Amino acid sequence: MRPRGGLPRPTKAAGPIAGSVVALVAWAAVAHNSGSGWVQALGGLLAGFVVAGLGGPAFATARLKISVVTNPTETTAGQPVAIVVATNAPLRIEAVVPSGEATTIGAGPGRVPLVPTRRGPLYQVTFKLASAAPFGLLWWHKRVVVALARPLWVAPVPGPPELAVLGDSAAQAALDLHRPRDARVGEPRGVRPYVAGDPRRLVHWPATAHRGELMVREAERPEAAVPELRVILPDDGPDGDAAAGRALGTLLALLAHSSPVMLATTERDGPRTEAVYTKTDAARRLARAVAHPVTHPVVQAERR
Amino acid sequence: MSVLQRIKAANKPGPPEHSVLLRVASTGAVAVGVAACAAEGELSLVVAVGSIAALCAGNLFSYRRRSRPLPWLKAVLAVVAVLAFWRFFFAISGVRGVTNLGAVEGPLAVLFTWIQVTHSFDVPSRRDIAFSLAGSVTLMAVAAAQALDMSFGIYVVAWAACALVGLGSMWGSISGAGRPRARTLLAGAATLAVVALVGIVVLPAPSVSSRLVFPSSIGGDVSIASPSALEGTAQGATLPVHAASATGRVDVGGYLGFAGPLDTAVRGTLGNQVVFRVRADRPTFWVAETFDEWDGQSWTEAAPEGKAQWHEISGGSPFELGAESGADGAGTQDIQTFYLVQPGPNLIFHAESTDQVWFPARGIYVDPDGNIRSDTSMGTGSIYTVVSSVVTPTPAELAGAGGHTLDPVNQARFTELPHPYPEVAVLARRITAHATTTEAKVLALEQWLGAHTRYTTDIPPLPKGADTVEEFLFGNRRGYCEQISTSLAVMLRTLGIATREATGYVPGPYNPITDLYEVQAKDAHAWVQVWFPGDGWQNFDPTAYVPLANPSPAVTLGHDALGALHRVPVVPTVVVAAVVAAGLLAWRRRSLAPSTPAGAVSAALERAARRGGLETSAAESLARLAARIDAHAPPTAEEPSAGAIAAAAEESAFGGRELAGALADRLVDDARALVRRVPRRRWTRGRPGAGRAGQPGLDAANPSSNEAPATSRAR
Repeated sequence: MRPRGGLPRPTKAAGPIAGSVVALVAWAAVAHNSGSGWVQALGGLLAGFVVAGLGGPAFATARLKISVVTNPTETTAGQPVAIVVATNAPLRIEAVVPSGEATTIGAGPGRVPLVPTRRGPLYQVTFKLASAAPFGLLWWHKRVVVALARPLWVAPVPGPPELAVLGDSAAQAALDLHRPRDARVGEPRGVRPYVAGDPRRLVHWPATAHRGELMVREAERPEAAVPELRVILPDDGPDGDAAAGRALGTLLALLAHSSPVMLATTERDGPRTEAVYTKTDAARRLARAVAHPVTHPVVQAERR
Repeated sequence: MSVLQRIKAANKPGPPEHSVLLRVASTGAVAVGVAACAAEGELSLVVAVGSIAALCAGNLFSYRRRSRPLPWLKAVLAVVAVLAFWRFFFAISGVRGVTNLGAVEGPLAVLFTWIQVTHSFDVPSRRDIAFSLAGSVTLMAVAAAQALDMSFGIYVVAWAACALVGLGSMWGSISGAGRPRARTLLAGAATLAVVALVGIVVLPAPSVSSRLVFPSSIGGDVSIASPSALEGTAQGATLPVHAASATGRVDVGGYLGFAGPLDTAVRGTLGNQVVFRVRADRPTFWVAETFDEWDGQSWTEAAPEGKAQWHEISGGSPFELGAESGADGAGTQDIQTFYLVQPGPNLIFHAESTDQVWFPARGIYVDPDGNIRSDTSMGTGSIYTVVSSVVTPTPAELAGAGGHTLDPVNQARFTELPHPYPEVAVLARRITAHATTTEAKVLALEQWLGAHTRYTTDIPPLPKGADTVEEFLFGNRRGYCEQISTSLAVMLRTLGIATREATGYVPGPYNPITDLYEVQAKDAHAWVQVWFPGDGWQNFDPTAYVPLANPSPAVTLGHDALGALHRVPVVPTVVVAAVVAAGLLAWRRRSLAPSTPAGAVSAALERAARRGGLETSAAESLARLAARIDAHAPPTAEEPSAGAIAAAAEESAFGGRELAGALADRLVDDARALVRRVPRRRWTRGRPGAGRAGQPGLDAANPSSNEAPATSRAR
């Protein structure tokens, strides 16, 4: 996607322009009445400096180009991230949507901080590009919308856990049952990622080599219950973000006692129910969650 | 936030500025401003040189202390600044009124210079440097107010270049881009040039406010021996008298029209030298003298019967003349300030109908025809201002002229002829047969002269006793302005029209930059003034209608080229040439300098070898050269050997382990220290490097190894 840019606009121009006009008019009046041609010519030169200094940045800003070289793919709402952009000239850059601190970078690659505040995917960033070239007398800026190199998934900020869910007897039972499971008991079921507490001898080395992470054998006991968390977001707005945050908080609380937790969400492609084992898994899933047609937020846990 | 907190916040020192280029450009701009003030006489040379040295020292001090500003320094500098202001107010306390800009500018230049020098010791941050840069404009403005010629352009260009680089560096510092790009600076320079040009073209020409005290001064004040007499200059007391003659011609001032009688039989060859510059509201003839009495070959001034020819006006400047213009209505005010570049006679040039003269003399002398003389001669640098009321009627008004007429005495005086001129009268009547008004008759005669005569100064002097008008009109009809204008005046007098001969200067070329008319010696001119009832004396220049006779392109081009060379300002040109030459040398030196650490090491080792009297060869490897240096000057335990340095350089150049940053700097520093360590060779008879047997270096010319040559590869 090509960056979409707006027209350059001066930044806090009233003071410099008024000051310059007053100074030039005063100079012209004095020069005219002094009768000295050189004073008037010098005034013309000063006018040149003023025109180039006040108007030049408009051209410089209009010619500014920017593209995103690389960016992280995951973050949490409210956490600062830095994306690497490439520019064709020195400029002052500030992320506007999502917002970030203004920073000055030279021509070439540079890091721009921004702080996503909303959960969900981020495909583009609106920047405010500003330049005061060639003399640094007045800043002009324009807004451009630049596509990220890769989507940035923003996880919700963990909110307070749903005490009702955690306090539910069924869920509490599940929690009690699902301390780190003793995989030595029961019928072999498959493999799963290693979690702290798993016996060393349960490590399944072929699967570990295949997955690139430590995997352990898992047995299935008929009485074993996996808590399932179904997240239904009211919308994709702030209410949805808040609900996702509470869901994440709840999920982390569940994961602290039992792993995995079955998480049911609705994603763009449709409903998805899958076990999550870690905080990262949970955050990724909730970053991708979208609203369900059901309008009220519900966080339910049930025994599976 | 309270006022005190705001003041503290405003005076809080900014972050230290590390850009050397910005400081150099800012210092350069201020130094150029100081130099410009000195060039225009606002500062003495000693003060200017001292100030520039102090500026450089102050900025160097500020740069070194930029991160550790001295807390007590501001207080000291503030005291110095207060002293500078006190001195300024003391200096201008004797000046009459604030409108006397000329008297204020000198102390103002000193004040601005003091402030800049004081400030230069406390410029740690970008904001302080920007203040210096902006403050340099005031110095340039003070100098520009006094600048009269184009040589000031050198300072303007130099200042603009410094300001351009400074502002570009400021943006580079703000953005972190470093030095400004040449393309950016060129674009900025082009914008400056275009806007300045547009400003000069669009803005109305400057005019002098009548509320100001007009400038006036005398250069080379020499009292005239006989009051009201016409004498020469301070430098050449008889210049108008011997300015030109049939046998000897001079350039400047070589014009007979500025003498007591105007001899039309001869004319000097006049050069391109600027005689004076005039700041005026409009171009006009600058009148020196008018003549009423014609004797057939010369014009003279004669007083009307019963009147003294000259009367003194005293009382000091400004002198109120209240000249009788002869016009019924009021004229348009025209203020002219004359800046004498060459010494001149004690004539005060003026436009017609002078009301007021600003001239620092005890008195001036005026005759009934409005001619003005001073009681002192005027040398180079003399300045005076004349306020005139110029009546400029339209052709229709001239055609219908009526009203105040000349009295019979003056009518007779301005129509008097030494003899009847019957042939001239017949010719004049024939030419003006169809003209009914005075203006129509004048124009008809001017057109006839334009069609039937030719202008040239290359004619022999008229023989003594010959009548100029008859020789010109009925001879070969070739002559110069005095003969052409005299012919018109005599023809008009034969028709009973009151006329007089006027001499002075035509406006000369107008310089749009300085807003001055640059009057050259060759602009000396003679023309005719005709009396129009109700409108007074009006100028007519018949020579303007007369074409040139056989102009010579070669002579003209040569003359122009010589004149152009004369006008080139020597000192600024030499300064610019020196700066350009220094820049080229620096550029060449930089372009020849090794671009890599290995190259720098290689060059240093070669210098060390030459210093020790060892011969070097392009075919010799760096390592082998280093081995010979070590043999010649063995390293101590604390110093790196030449071999080690060479090995590191070769590793960097060819081993794929390029050094960078501090390591590279250290390697180059070690190599340069090595150069100083090698003892100089004592020169003995014989070729350099051909030492005694067994001395290191004897076999240097025949390196036997096949290693990389020292000079060609490492670079």
